[in-house]
Amino acid sequence: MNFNELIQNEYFLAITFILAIAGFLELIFKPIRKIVLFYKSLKTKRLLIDRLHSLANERIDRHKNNSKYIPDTFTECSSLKDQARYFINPFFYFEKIILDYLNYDFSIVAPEVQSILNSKSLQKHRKKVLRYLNVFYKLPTWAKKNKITKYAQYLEKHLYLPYQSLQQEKHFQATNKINAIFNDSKSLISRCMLIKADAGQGKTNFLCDLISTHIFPHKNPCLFIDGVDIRKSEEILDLIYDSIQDLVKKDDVLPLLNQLGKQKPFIIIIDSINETSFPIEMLRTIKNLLIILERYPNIKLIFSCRTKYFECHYTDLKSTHLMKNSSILIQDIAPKMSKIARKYLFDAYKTHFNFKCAMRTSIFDEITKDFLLLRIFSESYKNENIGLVDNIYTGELYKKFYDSNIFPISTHRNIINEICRYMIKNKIYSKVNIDSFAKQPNIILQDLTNYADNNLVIRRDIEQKKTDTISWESLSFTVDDIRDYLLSAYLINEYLNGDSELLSNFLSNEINEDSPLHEGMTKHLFFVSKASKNVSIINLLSSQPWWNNSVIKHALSTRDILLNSDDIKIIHKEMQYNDRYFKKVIDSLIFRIDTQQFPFFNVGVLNNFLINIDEDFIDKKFLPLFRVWPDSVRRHSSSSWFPINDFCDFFTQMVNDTPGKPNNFCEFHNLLVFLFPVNYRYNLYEKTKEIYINFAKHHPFIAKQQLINAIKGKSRSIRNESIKVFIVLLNTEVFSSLVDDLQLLEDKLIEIFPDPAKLRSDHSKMATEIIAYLENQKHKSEKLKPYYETQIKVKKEQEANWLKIIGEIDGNESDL
Amino acid sequence: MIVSFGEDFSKDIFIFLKEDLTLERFLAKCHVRPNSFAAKEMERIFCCLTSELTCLNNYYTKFYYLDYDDFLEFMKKKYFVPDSFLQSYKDIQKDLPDIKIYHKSQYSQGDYVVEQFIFSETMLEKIQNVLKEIIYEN
Repeated sequence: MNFNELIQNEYFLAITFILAIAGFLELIFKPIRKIVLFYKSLKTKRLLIDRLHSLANERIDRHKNNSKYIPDTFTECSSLKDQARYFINPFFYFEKIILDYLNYDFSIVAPEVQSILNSKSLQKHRKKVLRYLNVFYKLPTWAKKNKITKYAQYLEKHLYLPYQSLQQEKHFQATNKINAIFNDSKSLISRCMLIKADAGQGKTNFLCDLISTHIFPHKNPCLFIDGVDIRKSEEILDLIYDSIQDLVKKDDVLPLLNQLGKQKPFIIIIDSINETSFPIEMLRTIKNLLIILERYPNIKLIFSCRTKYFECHYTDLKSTHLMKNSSILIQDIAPKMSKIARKYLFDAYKTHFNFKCAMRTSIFDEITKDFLLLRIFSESYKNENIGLVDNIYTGELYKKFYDSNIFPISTHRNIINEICRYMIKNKIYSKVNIDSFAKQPNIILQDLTNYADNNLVIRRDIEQKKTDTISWESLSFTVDDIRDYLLSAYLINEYLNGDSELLSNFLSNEINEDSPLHEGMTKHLFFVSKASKNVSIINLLSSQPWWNNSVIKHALSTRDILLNSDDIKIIHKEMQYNDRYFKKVIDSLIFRIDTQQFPFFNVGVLNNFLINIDEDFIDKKFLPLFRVWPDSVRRHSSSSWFPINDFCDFFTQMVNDTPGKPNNFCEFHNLLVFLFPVNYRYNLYEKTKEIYINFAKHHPFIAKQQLINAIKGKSRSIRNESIKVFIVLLNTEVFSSLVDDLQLLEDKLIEIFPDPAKLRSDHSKMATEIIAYLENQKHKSEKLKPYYETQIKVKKEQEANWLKIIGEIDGNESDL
Repeated sequence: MIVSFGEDFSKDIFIFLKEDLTLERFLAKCHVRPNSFAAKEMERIFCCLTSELTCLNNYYTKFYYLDYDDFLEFMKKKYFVPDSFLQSYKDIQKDLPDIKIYHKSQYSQGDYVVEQFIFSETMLEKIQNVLKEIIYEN
């Protein structure tokens, strides 16, 4: 068939026509199909991002529930979060990094770095950097990435490396700035971020905070996995695929994630890779992932690990290309916090755990400088209104924490009991091999490891000798103080349940001066026995040689209702011979002013001590602790003395605030009596006395008794001053009707002024007043006769003198 | 106005300023004669005070608006400023909407001698007055 025949063939024509129609339809439908596919893939992408975000949300909620993440408690005290921001969204923060760089002032640097940081070279760098920024926003995405890389390389080559190569000592200020510039630019271009820190530093808290407050608002596609969720012999890709298999084929997962990260990088976050039970498999999985990710430039990886575990199991990761050339390492995630940052943190805890309290600055400092203590405190007092926190009673705090967080859950209770039992039985008090519990009938090893990774009391760790390649996992209490409390509680509990031998053996074998347990165990045995209120156990322990020392050391951090008069005797004795302790006790008791709040161990204990102490002690050790503090001098809470002027203001305020209220603060005012002699030293005029007299007007019965006690006291100066105040008060109506102990006045008069002839001196005003008062009360006594006679004589002499003076004046007037 | 919440007043400071503050205006408010010794000293003070300042309002609107719900939350969570400060800022902003808060990081370091001079008790009061005058101008 030739061509002409062919084109005339109707079959051929029909086929050609059909083909033409098909081609035409293809021409029309191809773009439509493309649009449909595009929308379909867009829908898939959106669904995928939403799915991954909801998965991340689920994990965050899980961490919220087990309190590993507490919203708003990550405090930005360092550049860590900003660095993570730059890492996650480099295009968004490129301008900020350049602005920060341009803002740095290098005009004042040491001469030794002038060769690098002189104004000419800096000007050149700045011009170049500005040029990067000017064109940045006009570029397509791939070119933006290129530009950022070039910027980082430029800075490294022309600023960072030349500066680092300086042989002489670098300039401290400039070094900080250059490092900041370099770290920021490195964060922009890095593909991998490793967070290494010790247990309890807040790695999970940081990652959850980063996702909630940065990744979600910026709509970065992300995947958040916990290390513990990665099962043995499972690839991370399988894990990802499991959760999105209805949306995407397995082979398309990574290309799609890479596609998703085109505008904003796709972030894979793996938290706590150390929590897996299969470290070898985990190493392989992460290593594989790092190798695969080399091909997908829009996917970035953040993972966290405990420092010890990383050094032991995962150092091999450093050999991968991404870790070697494109990674940043974060090590310090809990830097030192300023006071305002600690205040912010404390408020966040108060809000999250819903507790209310007020506390002194020193207590606030103590609690906010120790994250673990803060956390235990917050969890223990959840949903409570504590009122004023006057002290951190650690024993009581741990007991409350145990009762509310450990005891109610039988698995946790069993674990703690078993660990205590094991430690006491085997005399191993830290780094217990975790495999020792494998055969324990009461414990499932998986429960133990899970609990160790998610609680505040015990922690799992890895141990390896430097010379050894074999490692093993250990179990320890997070802090020794908690261990000692729990061991003490366990021992006493066993004693109360009938096993007295365990405690006796422990006391005789483990509690000695050389034992590392001595300090902590004696502290908590003291507290737990007191809290148990069990007479036999207190009797047993109080016969121990360390008991008195424990009373002295720990009474101040024990609730006063748990102390007894024997303890006070021990404290009084120590106060007498130990100056530092005396100061410490005053420091504590001076704030225990409300006898309703502190019914037993309050400022009254100090007053009772001072009454029975001699003059020398009062003069040399007590009174020097109170001084006038000039207003212009800044105060330090650690000062070794108290500002008497502040005290006077406080006393005045107390008297004015509580005139008709119950006598809760009378013991505090009694302390004023012992401060009467301070007046002469520091020229406070009669301020302490004035305040006390004002107090006495409101509480005459109590003041009378306090003064009489002081007059009977051992210290001469306090006796004298008290009598003076007593006399002044006698002239007030309220007070005079109360005085019935005239013999006491007589005795004191004779004691202070043994020679009646000397009553003429200028200092006898007080004696004159006492005599006048006794005369008025018609108090007759043989001993007082010479005093009365001298008084009459003095009066007559005085009258004669006055008459003489008046006569002279009259004479002068008549002369005039 | 200069405010600090740190333990050391001269570190980690916040300054209320107008964006268009210039050296000339500052010197004019200081009432110093041009080219005099006092003018030179005040110029050094101005340079030290404004060196390495970052405008927090601008930073928030450009870089942190997604991370924090509003500017006040940004100030509170990133710089831990107390509520009383935020309230006073709100009050000032009602009357003077163009006032901005500038921050000088505790790590920013410059002319140490001048810094010490600025934060001496008497000088600080004088500078506060000058800045106040500039803020409330017009």
